[in-house]
Amino acid sequence: MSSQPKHIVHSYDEELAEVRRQVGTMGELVATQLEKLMDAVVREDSAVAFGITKREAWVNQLEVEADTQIFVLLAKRCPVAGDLRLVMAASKIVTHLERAGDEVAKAANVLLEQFQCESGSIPADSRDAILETGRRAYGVLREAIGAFTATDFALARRLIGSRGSSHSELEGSMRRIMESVAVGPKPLNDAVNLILILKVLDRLNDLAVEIAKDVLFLAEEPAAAPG
Amino acid sequence: MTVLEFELHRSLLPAAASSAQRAARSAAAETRMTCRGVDVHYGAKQAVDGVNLDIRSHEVLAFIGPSGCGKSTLLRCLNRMNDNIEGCRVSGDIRLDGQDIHDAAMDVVPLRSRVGMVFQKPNPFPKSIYDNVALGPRLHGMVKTKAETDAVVEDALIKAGLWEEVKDRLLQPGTGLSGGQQQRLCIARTLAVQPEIILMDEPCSALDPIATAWIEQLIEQLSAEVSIVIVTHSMQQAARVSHRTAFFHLGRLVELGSTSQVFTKPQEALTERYITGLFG
Repeated sequence: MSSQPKHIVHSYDEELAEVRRQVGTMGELVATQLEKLMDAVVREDSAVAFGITKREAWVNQLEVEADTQIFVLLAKRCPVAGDLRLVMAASKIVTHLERAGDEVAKAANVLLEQFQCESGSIPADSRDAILETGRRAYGVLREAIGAFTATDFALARRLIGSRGSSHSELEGSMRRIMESVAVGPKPLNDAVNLILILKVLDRLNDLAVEIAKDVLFLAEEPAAAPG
Repeated sequence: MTVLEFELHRSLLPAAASSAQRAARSAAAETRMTCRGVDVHYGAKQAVDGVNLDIRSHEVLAFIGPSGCGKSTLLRCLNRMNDNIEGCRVSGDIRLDGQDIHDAAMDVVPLRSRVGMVFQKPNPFPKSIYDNVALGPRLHGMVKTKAETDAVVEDALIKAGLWEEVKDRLLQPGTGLSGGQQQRLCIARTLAVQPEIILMDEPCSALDPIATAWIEQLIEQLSAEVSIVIVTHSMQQAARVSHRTAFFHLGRLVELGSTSQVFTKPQEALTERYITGLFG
């Protein structure tokens, strides 16, 4: 079995590997933030939610470091062909992860608001919907990052193809929350918070699929057109 | 949008669009020169192996490849410079506007005025700046009077981007200019005989980055009037200046495509490995 070709200049390989490593680290942190968010939902724990908002600065710091590494690599190495696609894909993924980090922090803030409101908790039926959507987003995000670090195009294609079904499930969950407001038992403020969290989690799913599309960009393979 | 994305959009996308536009214009242009089944041997050693390619009007075509791949040898075939090399044998069909350049009726002197050449190292004649440019038009009988010669010299120096720097010292030796100026003088010398194609064999390899930028700017301007074939070892230079790029390896033409395609998604694995510096 032949080994992966290396660059004649070894430090170039090391710099490209460093870009991959930084993207992986950032993805790991964002996924952990999402995991903590689910933990905060399950335990209804304000401290856990607050910790997420504090760690958002770490995500931003990793974005700055990855951007700097990519910027310097572009200036120094002038990558072309597959190397250029790798660097461009990494740059796009870093942007998506930064947005994902923002979204998780936003959900944590909404969760904190929910814990402070009159009911002070999450109704069981809504919690189940949030956990289901959150776990799905977490799984897709982890797999998308894995597809990038392992250059797994088959996995990336599968993630992109699986996107449609989760949208309809989310719509169903949101409809149920709105119906519960309409018949009375759930305060409107609670419903708004729960829908906001669901929307954030769905957005995370979208961002993870965008990352999978960036992985296909490595192969210069267009993602399937929507619809 | 992040700062990085902004920088990437600003630096890469306009260049890519511009390159694509130039490639499209090049594709639509007429063919000036054709090579079919061109082989070159130095004695028993084959340097160029069955090359087929076209040179289009107003295009910049870059030849890239490792040392010894045959790119300079093929370049020199295009105006029969290899005729002067002992033991060099060229076969195959090379045509300029449909005319076989090896045909008995083809005089090599006018051929070399139509297909001019700029070499790796600037090689001005040991004469004045003026005479360096005027010599060609005089030899080819293109000028008869002093006024005509003055006009040709000025025009060639303007096109070569050198006029403003030398107009007050035209009678000084060309060899007294800087390396970059000497190379532009050689380009002016080539332009003075009104070529249709200019062959450039690593024209910037002996120049500093500023002088290189002047030559590259000149190449861009000249492509409006002539076709340029440039041999370069600089991948970035090929990417910057050319509309199409041809990659050679062991005498064979491995890949020929638009420069934006070759440098973003080469069709051949060998091309990708060469331009990215991979081995193993």
